[in-house]
Amino acid sequence: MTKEEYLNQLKLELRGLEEKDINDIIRDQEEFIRDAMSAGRSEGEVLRSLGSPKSLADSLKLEYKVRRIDSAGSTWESYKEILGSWGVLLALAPLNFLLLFGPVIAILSFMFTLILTSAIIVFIGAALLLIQFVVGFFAGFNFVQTAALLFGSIGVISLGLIGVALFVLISQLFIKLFIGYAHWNISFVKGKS
Amino acid sequence: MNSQFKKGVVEMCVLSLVSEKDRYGYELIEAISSEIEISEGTVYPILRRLTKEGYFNTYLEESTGGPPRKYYRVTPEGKKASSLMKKDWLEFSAKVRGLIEQ
Repeated sequence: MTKEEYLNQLKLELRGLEEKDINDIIRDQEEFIRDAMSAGRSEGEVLRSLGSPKSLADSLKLEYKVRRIDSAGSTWESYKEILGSWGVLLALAPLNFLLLFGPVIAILSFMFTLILTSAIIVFIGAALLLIQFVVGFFAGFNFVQTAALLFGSIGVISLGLIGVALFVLISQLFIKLFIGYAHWNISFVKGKS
Repeated sequence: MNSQFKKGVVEMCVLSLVSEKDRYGYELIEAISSEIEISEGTVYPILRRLTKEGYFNTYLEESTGGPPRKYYRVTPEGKKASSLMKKDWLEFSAKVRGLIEQ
């Protein structure tokens, strides 16, 4: 492999990083190879010392993504960023999969169940309310019945709304945990590689 | 040697060498690898990170008979970080030495 072939290959493997970062890396790598060769080393030996373009690109990508996560704030954009970076980490460290997805899937399914239950409860409450009006409309309003149903449905809807509020609280907690976990997970992967 | 540990040490060497005078990548690799065994690939990521953190500025300068080289110059912020790191390291290594030479 020649220097040009190596750099082209590296550029391809770096896809996914920002254009600016890729150009920076290629420029630096080119200067390194040139300087190493003018220090008397052969092209083949210098390229071998760099490792394959793929493995070099992998470690550089890891480096960039980890930095992204380390500097991520708490905006929605940075959560998306973290998810994207995790995708890369996942590709780089497949063993990370279980570690990564075990807890996340557990929490996600818990949250899903909670929101589903709340939604069903609100729906039932709303349906009861609707039914009483339909029945009342055709059969005439009975004060006691109407009041009971009205308060009953309001109760049910409130229960559902409490569920939703709980869901919001829990998801905030989850996002905090998620960030903490991402940091831990990444230092774990870094330690391994 | 533990690779995470080494990374930290290489980072400190890079910061300290550039604080001394402006340097380019290969010069740093040669200076460090003549003393410690490092993989050459680790130096450029460190340079890029320290630049992004505001410890270095970069500029291009013509090299003899070739395209320009990228030089790294320390910023006041980098200088401060370098002397702090040096102080910490000297204290720390003196203590470790005291412990292992008992």
